[in-house]
Amino acid sequence: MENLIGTFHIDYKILIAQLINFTIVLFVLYKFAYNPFLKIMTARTGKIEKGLKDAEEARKKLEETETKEKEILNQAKKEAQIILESAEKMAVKSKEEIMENAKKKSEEILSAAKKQLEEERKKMVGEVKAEIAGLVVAATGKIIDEKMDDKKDREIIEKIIG
Amino acid sequence: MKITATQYAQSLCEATEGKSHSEIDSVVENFVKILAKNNQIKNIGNIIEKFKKIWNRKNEIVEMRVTSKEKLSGPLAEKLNNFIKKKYQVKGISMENIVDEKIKGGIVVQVGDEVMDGSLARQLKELKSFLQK
Repeated sequence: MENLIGTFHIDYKILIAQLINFTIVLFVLYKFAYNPFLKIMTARTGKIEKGLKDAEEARKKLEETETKEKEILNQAKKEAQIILESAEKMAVKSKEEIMENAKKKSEEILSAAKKQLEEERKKMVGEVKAEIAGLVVAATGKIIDEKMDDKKDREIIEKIIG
Repeated sequence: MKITATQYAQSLCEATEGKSHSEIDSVVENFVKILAKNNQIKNIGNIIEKFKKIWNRKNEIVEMRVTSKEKLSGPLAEKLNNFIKKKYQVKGISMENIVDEKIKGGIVVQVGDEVMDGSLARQLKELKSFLQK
């Protein structure tokens, strides 16, 4: 040991003084550099953690927003699809209604035309019949006037009262 | 009190009942005088109508209006009278014969409200109606 100390020329006094110096320096550093540095570091760490946390929250929010956006988009798509289907149905329905109304109207027109035609036909037939009847009766009346004499008239009367 | 046309007619009917022609003439003359006195000459047509109805009812006579193309007379008129007498169960007929060529033949007999139309004009009308159907 003695040899070792001698070899390295270690001086206990200097060593103690250096130790005291080191302690003082360490104390000074601890007091004036380490604590503020620690505070700064802690604050920075806090800030960084907060930043990371904020970033995480922002990411989450972004994800949520994206999810919501997707949901809204899907909902909108569904609604649009429903509206489209409804519109299609309405279009089909209104088309059917229009067709039905047109069919009904055409049937009515046809029926009215047929009725009118039938009435005109009846009227015409009636007029022809009336004309023929008038002619027949006029001709018969004329024949009666020409052929009727007292004898025949008496015979008719006797037939009535006989 | 006012005397009605029916009452005048009834009185005349009673006054002439069972009287001879000359007596009836005298009754009628007096009746007309009474009407003139009572200022009823204007109602004489109505009184005569009432008298006819009362007289006919009393003597079971019906009034018949016959429309024919020619005037009815002789056996045919007699036959018609008998036909109506039998039909209405009466003793006499008061016949009014209207000549109308428009009926073309046959007869139209009206007794009261009943009309028997046996005219050729009616048959022609029926023929026309049948042809028009």
